[in-house]
Amino acid sequence: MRKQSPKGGRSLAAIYLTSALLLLAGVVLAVCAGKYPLSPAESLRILLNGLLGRDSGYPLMTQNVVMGLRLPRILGSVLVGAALSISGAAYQSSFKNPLVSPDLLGISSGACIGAAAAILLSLPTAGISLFAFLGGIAAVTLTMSIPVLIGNRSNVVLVLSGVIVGAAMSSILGFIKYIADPETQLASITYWSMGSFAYVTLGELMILLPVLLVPTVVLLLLSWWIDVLSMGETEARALGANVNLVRGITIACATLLTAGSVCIAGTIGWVGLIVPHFGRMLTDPSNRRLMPLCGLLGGLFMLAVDTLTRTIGVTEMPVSILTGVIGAPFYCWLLFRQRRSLG
Amino acid sequence: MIYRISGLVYTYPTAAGKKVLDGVSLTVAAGEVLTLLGRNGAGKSTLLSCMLGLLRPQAGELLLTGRSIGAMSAREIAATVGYVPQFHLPGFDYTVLDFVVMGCASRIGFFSRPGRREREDAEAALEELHISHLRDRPYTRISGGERQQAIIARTIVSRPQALLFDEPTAHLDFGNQMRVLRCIKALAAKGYAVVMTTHNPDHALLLGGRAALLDGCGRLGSGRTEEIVTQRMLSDMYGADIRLEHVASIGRKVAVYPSL
Amino acid sequence: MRKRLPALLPVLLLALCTAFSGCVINTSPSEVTAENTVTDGSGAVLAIPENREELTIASVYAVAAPFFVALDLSDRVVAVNVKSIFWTDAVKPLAQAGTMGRGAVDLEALAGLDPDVLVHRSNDKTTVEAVQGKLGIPVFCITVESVADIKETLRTMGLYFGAEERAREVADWLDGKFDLIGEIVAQIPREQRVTALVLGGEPGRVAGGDMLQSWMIGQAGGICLAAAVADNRNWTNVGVETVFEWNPDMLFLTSSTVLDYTADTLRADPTWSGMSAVQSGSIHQIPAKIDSWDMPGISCALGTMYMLHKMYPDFFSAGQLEREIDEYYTFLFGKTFERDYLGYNPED
Repeated sequence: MRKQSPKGGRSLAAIYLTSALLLLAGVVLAVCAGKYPLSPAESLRILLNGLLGRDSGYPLMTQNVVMGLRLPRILGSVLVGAALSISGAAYQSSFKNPLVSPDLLGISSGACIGAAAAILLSLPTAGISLFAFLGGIAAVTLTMSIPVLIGNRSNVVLVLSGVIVGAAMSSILGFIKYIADPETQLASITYWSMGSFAYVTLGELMILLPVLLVPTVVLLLLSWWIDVLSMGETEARALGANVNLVRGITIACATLLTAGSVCIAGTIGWVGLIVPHFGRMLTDPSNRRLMPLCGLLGGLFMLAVDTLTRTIGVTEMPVSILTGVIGAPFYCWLLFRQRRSLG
Repeated sequence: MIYRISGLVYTYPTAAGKKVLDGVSLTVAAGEVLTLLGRNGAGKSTLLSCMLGLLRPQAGELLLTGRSIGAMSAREIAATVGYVPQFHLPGFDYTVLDFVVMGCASRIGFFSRPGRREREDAEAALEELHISHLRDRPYTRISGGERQQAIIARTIVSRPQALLFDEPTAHLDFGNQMRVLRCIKALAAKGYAVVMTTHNPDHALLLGGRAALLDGCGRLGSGRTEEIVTQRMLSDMYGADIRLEHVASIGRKVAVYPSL
Repeated sequence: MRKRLPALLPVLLLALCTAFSGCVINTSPSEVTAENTVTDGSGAVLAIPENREELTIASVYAVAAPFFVALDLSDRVVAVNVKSIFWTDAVKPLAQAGTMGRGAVDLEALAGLDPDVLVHRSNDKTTVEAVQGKLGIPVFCITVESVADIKETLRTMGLYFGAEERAREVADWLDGKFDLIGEIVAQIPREQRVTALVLGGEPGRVAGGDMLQSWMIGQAGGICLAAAVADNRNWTNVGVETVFEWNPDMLFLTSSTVLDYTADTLRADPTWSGMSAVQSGSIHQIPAKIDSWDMPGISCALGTMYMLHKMYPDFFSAGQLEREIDEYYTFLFGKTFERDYLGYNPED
């Protein structure tokens, strides 16, 4: 079962190509899927004409379904899946800990609190993103400082620290909800903390795109140094790495990605944990190869989950239900595999 | 001289005033093996950390290739000194080749990544340690001895001048211990300045060269191994009856316990 | 441990018996005769107290407050939860009663107030059992998911609190209004019937076919497109795409829960521009900001008449609706209210 060789140039390209084609196929399928009765051919014709800025001659309603409902939702889920997966890979490497992810470290809830506080202060979208980022940074700082304070930096203590911070953050979120104006603010705060792509708009995505793209590019440029960081602090330093700088930038970028995702779709768990592991199974842990693959696979995974939630059954299922159903058993399996290094 | 250390003093910020290193002076030349002995907690690892620039001594001078280590950047130090840690807890299953390439970090730019040249250097290092066949294996899935070889390959890939080994034999079986020592001796013969800490005085005798001894009060004595590693010194330091016996059949002195 | 078990058994049995008997006190009809009992909205049979006209009442259930007002019980209320300040503004005794929290019952606060009865929602068994079991305070549960429920609640509350006369009067008034609505709807030709939907907290969440809001559409002569979906009387998240597929002639937004959007955001959203209701300007939030007309309760008669007017203005004019609004408030509060104060804009 184990790979015999790292995927050399050719087979690595094959993996990228397959994932990219799958993602493209997923997008096409997702454009055609939905409750509104539209044939795949109609959906695609509307999409292509819409992308080219031409009028497809279809009724306004069907055009709106494809271009206004499905397209933003699809783009949003692909972007958020990619962002969360890349940030998960970055956190796992920089903490040398395969058991962490943006949600398990409490960063997602921190970002959610930041966003909720911004809503409470009636700030515009840019302010909400900034506050989400600050909340995420505050959470990750707290999570990182607990193992240092108690003088035990094992994998399990970091995960527990994330649990503690996550719990504290949800209490704070509860408090913000408690003092929020139930007439105007509460509903949107609740919506943020739930996780959904149903009301993503293209305009919103355009505003948040730089928040996702810039950190992704920086992380890709830094990916080899993140590998070095995953050797542990002392070794990375002895190898000549500027540990504080690499780790600082990595965590800032990963947190920005998490915060951007929270701004688009609220908190969505598990994706940032599962996808990097799946990617490592396909290639190897080297972030140079892993991070781009995480982007493709994460986008595909989130897209598949969101498309399922909006097509199965009469009512739409919250995204986090499906990611949780897949994620929790996966985490158990990971713990089982990691059992030797947990002590 | 690769290392010229004089009057080094180090106190951990948390240990109220207790000097771990107290006026340590030492030189290490190219092509020389220095074995560092001392009881648990005597300060062997602390001294190595100072020599790597990871810890800043409170007093004394530490010159690396003639320059004060405090004035050198992490990259400059890493380009000069290779380090083999005592514990290496693997996190992710990088291939042996990827792992060894990380040894080139000191010459890779910040937003850059290793290229063909680094890969070729890494393959040469693997060749040198006779582990080319492990090239594409995940380094988490090879034996402890093989992994130790891979770590050594990682330290020599950037062609440093000195190599620091922190108890390289501590977690290895008998056969692998011998192989690592042979490798260390060969590296010194190639011109590296090698410093190695160990708990086994016999390893010092096997390697020959020079030895240094930390006495538990932060003081260090060094000299030719035969002068430093004596029966009296060993018994005093470890607080146990240890004999140096000449074994005629192998033609060398051996450190042994007479009985329990 | 093993030795002690026989000794523990009788104690355990006794405890079980006590616990069990505690459960059945409320529902056993054998101890009381049918003439002085009443079955509440949860199906529990309650003994009507001797001093039923003096009972003090506490509640944290906002739906109950309009019933206290309608049955002239406000003077006896010692704790109440109201949907908006409208109720405490309009009914002074409710303002004086104060509140005991929103939704959840604080047992200690309730014990401190020591009311004769707690009026509560019927789907909260835990609270009902705790209040009866631990505090010995009887709980009168109400269910208001249909007009039949509303009338039954009026009748049983009237019996329990000694206000049968007024209860009958209010029920007759309700019947009268729905009879009137029925007569008007009967004149509307089949082919002019309008399809409609009530949206909830988010634009993809609708009132299921089993909810009062959907029933109101039917009463007002509309065709409720969500008739087939139901999620146990909860707002059902069918998704925006399904709402688009249904494409109703008329969209109503509820005022009974909090929305994170407004009729204006939907009107301005290009994605919604293909909807018939948007194109014909037929998106309306059910009035009023301060007193919801689609809350389960007596006001649903007014809400239904509002829907009737919006769907069939030719059959039920703005003037007629205005008169009915005045009549409703006068009937319940003895006076009518400024439309501005209610947050109702007839033009909207």
